[in-house]
Formats: sequence, structure tokens, C-alpha cells
Amino acid sequence: MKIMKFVAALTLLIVMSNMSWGQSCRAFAKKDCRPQMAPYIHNGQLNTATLFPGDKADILLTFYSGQKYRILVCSQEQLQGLAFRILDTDRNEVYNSKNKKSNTFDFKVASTQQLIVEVTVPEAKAANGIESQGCVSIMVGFME
Amino acid sequence: MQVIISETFWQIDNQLMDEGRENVSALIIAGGWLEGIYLATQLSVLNPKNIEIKQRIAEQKYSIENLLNLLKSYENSKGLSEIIVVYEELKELFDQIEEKKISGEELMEDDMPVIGHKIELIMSDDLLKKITQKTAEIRADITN
Repeated sequence: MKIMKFVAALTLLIVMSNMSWGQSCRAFAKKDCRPQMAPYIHNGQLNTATLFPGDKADILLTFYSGQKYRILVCSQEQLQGLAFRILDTDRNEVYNSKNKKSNTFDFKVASTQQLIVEVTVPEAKAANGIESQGCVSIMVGFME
Repeated sequence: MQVIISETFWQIDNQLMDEGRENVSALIIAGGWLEGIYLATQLSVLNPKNIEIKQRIAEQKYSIENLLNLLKSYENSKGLSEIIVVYEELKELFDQIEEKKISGEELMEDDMPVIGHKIELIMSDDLLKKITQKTAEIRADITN
């Protein structure tokens, strides 16, 4: 019974810490990332994830013809050297941020379509053996 | 107009998230999207030769997929499971719109790269009629 209580308490603790991390990730995206979207209008979606070095995450987004878009990939300081790619739905690369030294990409699309934004966090050696996780946000802005 | 709508949605969405009512935010998006489709399909009835409206309606095949993914993440919330069922029926019609990919060459427009395929969406008049009817039915069910 004591073990069950301990497991329940531990589970609650993990859930609560994840919740507070998730909330702080959202707060980070609102405060630190969203202002970088100007002069584009943020589409209102906050796509955030907590990633570790070596992690990869992707998201499928829809882009409409006739609009100008900005993709912004923003991360907390502890995750250095983040790279992102844009792929079509057949996973052919249409853009790669490698060597571009910018966390934004401004573009238009040939036709309305879905594209995949893939973010990669480079491997990093943890100084104290503990890998540092960090918040990553992918945001989309648009203008006519 | 886009700035006002985006900012208003952003504020409402944030408020609802803070209050733990994300499902309401999903309902607002679902309702707003349906109203948009309803207006577009009714305009298409009035102007059957307007290709641009037809094109914009066809492009919603991507949006309804994203929308359903969003709604399904709250499917246990009150009222959402019924909405999901009818939106699934509408999606089945949108799925019948054919997609023809044409390989595009890299272009620049307005000093920015144009990425992705050129895609032709093929929607017959009969299919448009079915989408128009289904949209009107769902809207009537929700509003009455």
C-alpha cells in the first residue's frame, strides 16, 4: 500500500513538473519568440516542444498561395545550433537553414499546400552528465 | 482586418488556455471555419463561374484535416464528439478532391523564394454541390 502511495505521489509529481514545464515553454514562446515575428502577423498557433540534444521534431503545416510567410524557429539558450528544414509531403527537402545563420525563413508557396517543418537539435556533450533540455517553438507568420 | 482577427483570436485563445478551457478554443476555430466555408460555398452558388472561390474552397481539403486533428485531441470534451462525426462526413467529401502535382522550378517573387510544388486541385461541380449541401446541413444543425 505504501509503495502504491509512493508511486501515485511520484506520478503526480512528474505530471505536475511536466505541466509547469509545458506552461513555462508556452510562456517562453509568447515572451521571447513571438516578438521576433514582426512585421509578419503571427497566425495564433503556438507549436512548442521540450527537446534534448540529438532530438528531432517535425510538424505538418498548411500554407496558402498568395501569402508571404515567415517561419520562425526559436529555442532557449541551452539548446545551441538548432537547424531546421522544410520538406514537402513526399519528404523532399525544399529549404535547409544549415549555414544560413538565421532562425527565420521568409517565402511564398507555388500553390496552396502542406509542408513539413523539421527541427534538429545538435548532439552536445553534457558537462555534468545531465543533458540540458530546452524549449523549442515553431511559429508561422503571414502577410498579404 | 487580418491583424485584428489574429490579435483577437490570440487573446481569446490565451485566456481560454490559462483557464484550462482549450476545448472551447477548438470549438471557436471549428465554428469559424465552418462559417467561412458556408459563406464561400454560398458565394459560389451565386457566382458559379468564379474560379477563384472554387479554388479557395478546394484548398480547404488541407484545413479540414488539420481541424479534425485539433478536434480529436479534445474528443472527450462535452459536445465535441458529435461535431467530430459530422466534420468527418464533410472531410470524406473534401478527400474526393484530386491533387495533381506539377514539378515546379525555383522562382523568386516579391524578392522572396517561392517554394513547393505547383499543385492543381480538381473538384467537379457535382462534388462542389455536395460540399455546399453538407456544409449548409451542418451549419443548420449547429445553429438551430
